Amino acid sequence: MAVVEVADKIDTIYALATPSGRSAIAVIRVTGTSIPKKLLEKLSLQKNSRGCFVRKIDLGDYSDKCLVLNFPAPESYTGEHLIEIHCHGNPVIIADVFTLLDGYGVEEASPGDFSKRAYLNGKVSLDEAESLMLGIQAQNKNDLISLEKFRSGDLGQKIFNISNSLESLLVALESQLDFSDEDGVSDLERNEIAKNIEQILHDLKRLLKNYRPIRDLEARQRAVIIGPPNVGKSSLFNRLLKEDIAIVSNTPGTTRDVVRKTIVMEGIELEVNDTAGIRNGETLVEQEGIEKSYKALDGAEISIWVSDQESNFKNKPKTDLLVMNKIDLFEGRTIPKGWIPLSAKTGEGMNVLVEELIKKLNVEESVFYTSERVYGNIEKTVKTLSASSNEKDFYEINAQNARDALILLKEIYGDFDNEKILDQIFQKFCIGK
Amino acid sequence: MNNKFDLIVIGGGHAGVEAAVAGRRMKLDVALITLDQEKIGRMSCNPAVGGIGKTHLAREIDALGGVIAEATDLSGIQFKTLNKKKGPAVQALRAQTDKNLYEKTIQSFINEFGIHVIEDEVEDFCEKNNKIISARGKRGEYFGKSFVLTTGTFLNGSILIGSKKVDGGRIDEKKSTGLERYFLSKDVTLGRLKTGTPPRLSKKTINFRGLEEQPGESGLYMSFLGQKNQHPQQTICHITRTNPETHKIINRDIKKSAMYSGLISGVGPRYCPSIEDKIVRFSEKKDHQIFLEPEGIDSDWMYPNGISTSLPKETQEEYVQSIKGFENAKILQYGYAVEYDYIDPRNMSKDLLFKKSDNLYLAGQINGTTGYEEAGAQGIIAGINASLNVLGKEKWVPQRSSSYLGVLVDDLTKFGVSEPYRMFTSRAEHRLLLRQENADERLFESAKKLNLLSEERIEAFHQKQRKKQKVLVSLRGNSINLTGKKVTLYDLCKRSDFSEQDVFKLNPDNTSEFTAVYYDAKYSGYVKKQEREIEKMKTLDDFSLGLIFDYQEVVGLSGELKEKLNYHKPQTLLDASKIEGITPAALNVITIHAKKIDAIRS
Ligand SMILES: Cc1cc2nc3c(=O)[nH]c(=O)nc-3n(C[C@H](O)[C@H](O)[C@H](O)COP(=O)(O)OP(=O)(O)OC[C@H]3O[C@@H](n4cnc5c(N)ncnc54)[C@H](O)[C@@H]3O)c2cc1C
Repeated sequence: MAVVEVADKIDTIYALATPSGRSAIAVIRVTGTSIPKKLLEKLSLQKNSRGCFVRKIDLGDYSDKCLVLNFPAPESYTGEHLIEIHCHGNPVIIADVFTLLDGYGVEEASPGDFSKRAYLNGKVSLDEAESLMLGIQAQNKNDLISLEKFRSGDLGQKIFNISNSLESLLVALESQLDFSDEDGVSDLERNEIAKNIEQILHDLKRLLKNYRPIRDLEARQRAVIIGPPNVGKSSLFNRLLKEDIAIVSNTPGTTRDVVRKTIVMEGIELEVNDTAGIRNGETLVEQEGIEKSYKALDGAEISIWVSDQESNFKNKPKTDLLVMNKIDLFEGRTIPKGWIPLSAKTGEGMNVLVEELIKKLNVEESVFYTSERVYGNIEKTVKTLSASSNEKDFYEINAQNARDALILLKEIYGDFDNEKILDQIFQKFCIGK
Repeated sequence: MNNKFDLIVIGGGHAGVEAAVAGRRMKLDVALITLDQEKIGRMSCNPAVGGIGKTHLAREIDALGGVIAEATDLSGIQFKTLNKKKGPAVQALRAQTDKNLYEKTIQSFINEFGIHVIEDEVEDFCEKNNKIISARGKRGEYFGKSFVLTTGTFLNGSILIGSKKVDGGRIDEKKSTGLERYFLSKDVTLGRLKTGTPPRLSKKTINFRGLEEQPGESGLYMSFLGQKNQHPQQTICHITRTNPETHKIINRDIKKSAMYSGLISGVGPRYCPSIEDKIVRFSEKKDHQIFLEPEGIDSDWMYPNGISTSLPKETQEEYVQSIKGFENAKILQYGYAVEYDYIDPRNMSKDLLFKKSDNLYLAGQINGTTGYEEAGAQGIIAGINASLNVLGKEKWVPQRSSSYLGVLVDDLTKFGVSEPYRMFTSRAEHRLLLRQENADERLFESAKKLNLLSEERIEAFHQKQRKKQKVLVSLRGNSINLTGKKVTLYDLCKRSDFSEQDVFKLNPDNTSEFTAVYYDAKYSGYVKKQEREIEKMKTLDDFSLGLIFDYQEVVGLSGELKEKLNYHKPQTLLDASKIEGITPAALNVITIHAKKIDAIRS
């Protein structure tokens, strides 16, 4: 079976846990159910003595003073005997330690091997292993924030609770079917069951709404800032970002391309787009930029028109919000109804804009990430449970669906499945993790 | 007297009868050895056949040419459909039978089939190299090529009423003994199970006035061969209830019940509890329902379904008379419990062959089940396989995906039993597809290949298929316009916004098989899903664990799991995955180990 083909026949494996290249120290991990005795002797380690030891390792013509950490089974990351060798971070030294290990029949690990062993030895569940990997892959702090619920097991708990409700529902349904001729089994009303399923579906759909599969990193909600040139769109953009990334100057039309940046607003993620000012530009390059500005509005969740005056702009698109900028310059001016007065420069009125933005975002809770697999299974569960029947077979159909749905939810934690889930997951790991 | 046969069936209960008939259908010379030939086919308990899950088995036995359903049609005195408000997958026909007429019908079948009936008690087997040569009875020795053993509740049976314990397999029938030695010699220990039956009441002495009536329905048949005017005269049943007074009496004497006095060590079925069990376990319930079932049209015997017991006689009299309608009721036979030997069915392979023998098959209550249909189902499987063995042919194993028979043997041989096993529809993961009405379709090919079907049956099957075909052609060939799109009636069946009635009205060419075709269409999506799952399971089933001899060597398994695995010795990864407590991770560990062994060997 393909599920466990990686390193099947190899017992002890090693991998570099720190990035390759030059560094103060490098960490090499070795794990196996029976690490070769000779290797233990070489490192002067007792199989069962847990601890941290300083060892001068003889590497042939020279030696390196290393820190060696010994984790006897099962109290280790993999659940097997695990040794960490902290040597000095010189590629030559690392290569020589590798050669040394090779000499004892220890082999280099394949991607994900360490975590796979941790899973196989019951140290982590499948979804935990997955969230671990995603945590390593996260590109930035925002990703980590978004992964928090998945990584902390919060999502797992929610799914577990839903499986529990589903299980009770199934039990109730089954007793309607097999024991209906028996005394004491009262008729469970159809609408009661329907309500129950509705609630479970509601909970699942909420997860689908609040979570995103990690592949959709780009598919965040979008707010587009659009308006005439030189009204302070980029200043507003930067104010939202609280950092300078777009070019800001007084010459009209300096933002030629759409500039994108993602912000997290009270836990809600939003990609903000700054666009080139729209008017009949003089250069070709400018025109191209303007076309892009209009295009940026397509599919955007929120559009913001920014101006510094209430002009009758000819081809002004319809937008969700209207912002009157530069109120610091034109103090005391009357603000037309429906416009948000603010100063991108001083920050005055920004809080009103932010509030409006949050209102416009169609998310009740914040958006969090989870893995594609987990998301996919939740989606399939919803589909399975949604197919009901209005006829006599209402009970059996729903029992069947509940059963199938339960299998899907349980798979999330790694219920055995021969469809190579394991390989798919663990091969995404980098070597040594 | 001739004492050499092809197939020897021991035990004339519901298992033994089906085994013997299957052997005859497969053209073998069959002997049926039983304690009392007058009691062949006797219903030890309920005068009834069918029930949710059980009917499914009865229909499948019928589809394989068995006799339980036909005998029911010829002796049934009330027929009705259970779960009528639910869909076809969980509906079940239940029949009240005339107990005497039922056994007489079975006995005449046995006669017509030309089965040699021998009255004797088999006490031992004579065996050479794991192959049984003969069965030794009190009166003679019987030589056969293949053997089916169905001792029911008789093997070392004891009958218990209150503090009285006597030997016996059923009331007024002696126990059988001796065969346990054969199993002990094979290092197989026997277990004890128990079951119970209610007191039988005299109809004359029951006051039916004021009791709720339960009428039957007409035009229903257990067998696919069922025909008009086949049933004898029909009757009605009644319902009454226990009351707080009844419960008080039982509670007062509970210690005197054989089940509570420590006299019984065997485990009873959770699903069919005695009245004392019900009162202890559901103490908050103020009353329990009792169905009053006549044991025959002209019989004075009434079977009060719901109050089986092993209380002393005096207590039985007192609590019975506390029940509405039974104020003056006379007990014709006291309720009792029976405790008997059974063999852990994990000692059987899926064709019901006893693993430590080449030609001994076990079926029925001896394998830890309860119920006539469960017994009959195993009987026919064992009979077929014992016959195939004689004929030197490949065994036949019914599959979970296509029959309850498959679910039954798979569950028994894989999980064993912790209480008497009975069938439920929830045991079948493909329930929607395993319906009582399509058992013939599901098993036709197998049955035909095994030579189990008479001309009459084959013709009846084809006739039904022609009727179905007609509806199908019409459903596929006609369509309606739905918001500008043409939708065939067939596809309409799958939509939840159209009911069976709606489609029926739209369909121009209808036959009596409309409902069956409608549900075939409606559930066609589940067929695809099932096929995918079967494929998935096959991969697991193809992964052999035969090379793992000791799970203690498998690294990464808990001690408990190692023990369980060593005990079960799963043949394939699929078998292993069904063992209780097995985690996905554990399966992976096992897979790795199996591969390691494989690598070392090659
Ligand atoms: C008291 C009692 C209560 C029950 N209650 C229920 C219930 O509540 N629900 C339910 O579903 N089922 C119940 N049953 C079970 C049901 O009767 C059985 O499951 C079913 O009859 C088993 O069929 P069988 O063929 O395995 O065995 P049986 O019907 O018991 O037949 C066994 C046959 O084997 C013969 N025999 C035994 N040993 C030998 C031997 N050594 N040599 C020759 N012949 C032998 C006997 O003469 C008998 O004919 C009850 C049975 C009893 C006795």
